[in-house]
Amino acid sequence: MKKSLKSLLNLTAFELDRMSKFLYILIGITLGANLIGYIMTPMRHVSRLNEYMSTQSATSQQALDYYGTFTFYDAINTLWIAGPIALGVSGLLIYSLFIWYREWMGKNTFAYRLLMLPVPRMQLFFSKLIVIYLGIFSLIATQISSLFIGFQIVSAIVPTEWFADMSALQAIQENFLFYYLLPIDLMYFLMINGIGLVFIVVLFTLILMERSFSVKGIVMGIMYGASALALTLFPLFLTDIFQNQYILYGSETIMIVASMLLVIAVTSLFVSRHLLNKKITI
Amino acid sequence: MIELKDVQKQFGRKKVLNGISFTIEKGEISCLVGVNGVGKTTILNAIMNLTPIKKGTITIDGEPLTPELYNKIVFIPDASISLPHFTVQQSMDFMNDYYDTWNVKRAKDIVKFFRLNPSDKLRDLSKGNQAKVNLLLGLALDVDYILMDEPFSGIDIFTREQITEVFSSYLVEDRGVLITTHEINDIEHLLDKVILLDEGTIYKEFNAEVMRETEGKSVIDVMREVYNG
Repeated sequence: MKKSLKSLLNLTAFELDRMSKFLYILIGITLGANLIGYIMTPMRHVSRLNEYMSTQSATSQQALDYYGTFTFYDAINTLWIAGPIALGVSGLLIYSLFIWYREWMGKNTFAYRLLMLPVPRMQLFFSKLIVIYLGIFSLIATQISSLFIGFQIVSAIVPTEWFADMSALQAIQENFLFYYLLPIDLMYFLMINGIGLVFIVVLFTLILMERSFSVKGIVMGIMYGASALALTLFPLFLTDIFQNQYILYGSETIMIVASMLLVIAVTSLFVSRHLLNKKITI
Repeated sequence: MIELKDVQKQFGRKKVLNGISFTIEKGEISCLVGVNGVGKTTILNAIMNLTPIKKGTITIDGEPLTPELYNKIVFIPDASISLPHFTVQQSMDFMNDYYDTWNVKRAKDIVKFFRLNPSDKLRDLSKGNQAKVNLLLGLALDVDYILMDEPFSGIDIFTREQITEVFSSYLVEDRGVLITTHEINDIEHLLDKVILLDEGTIYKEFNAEVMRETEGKSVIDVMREVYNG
């Protein structure tokens, strides 16, 4: 195996090992909360119907007419499911900062060791980026597995006559969070992950600016981040800017946004490389 | 040869290094001396490309520092730079994974010499033993140049004696060593070159032994002359 690839894999495995506890906790919370949601939400519905039947001396059909059927969409459209997603996103966002700053924290300045490794310094950047993305995909995989387990649980709890005929896929498609997060529509999935990837690359660049120039770096970072955001959003306002002289199709706008993101990503990678090689300070 | 030419460095408006030039040859032990804040650690960081310089050039055997050259030169800072939850063995394995020049046999010898226990976690070690691990991780590399920042800082007399022994052992033989220390008395007799810094410049460069023989002064005496006026 080529030496540089081997060291990149080594570094990635090393970073993954350092993240593993945090990732296991996030996966545990996601699975736990999801399971509670998949059990509690349908049980609550079933007990409501049962209670209605016993207090009102109603038939099953009457209870159903009153409360409606239960769908898998009802099971996933709760805080038990959305909460862990929000927690995962915010957790990994915080970890994206921590993954760099921990190297400078405490008595043991591990940044010394990492920056003096006989490998191109951009490998540190890429290993940290890969690990963050492995974290994202691990959480997405956890959500997908828990969806299938959840569907079985819900089907087992809710009696057939009270359970609307809706597949797990239909339910997911109707939930906007899952629609964007899970690979249901490949185009959307690639777009969301592309935006996420560029966001993390830019965030890493801002961190390196701060690590290189301290307070000046924070100012530079704010300006760089704002420019990147403006560049990404600017195609959405093109029609307004040209006062409706040119009207862009949706696909054209997406193409321009994607090109802008590519420009931002490439620029950020070059800036990061320069900072790591020439400006970073212990 | 490590060569610094007209190196300048500024922190904000403060000039820390103002035209520093010197060379370090293989097989030579050199020492940067000066009071706190005079720029000793900054010079070592600059050589290792851990802090950018404003002007000047630094070359290792005629080449500017590239990642590959970290197989040729090692820096041993005064703080522990391995992960605290790592054991001594894990720290060595980490080095072995990345450095072509990691010498397993030499590492074993150093572990024995310093009486370290490979299964001890770094966070459980005393400051003296952490300093020994730092030295172990640096000295077990088959490099041409070794930079050490305050290797005697905050450690007991016996550990200091052990570390001093390193400087006259095969561990630094034929290598170019650049060291910064306040405990100059301990190693003065081993030094080939003393580089005395003052206000960001090299005030004097001399051989400690020659200075003693010709002018009857120790390094500390020379420092007193400079800093006490």
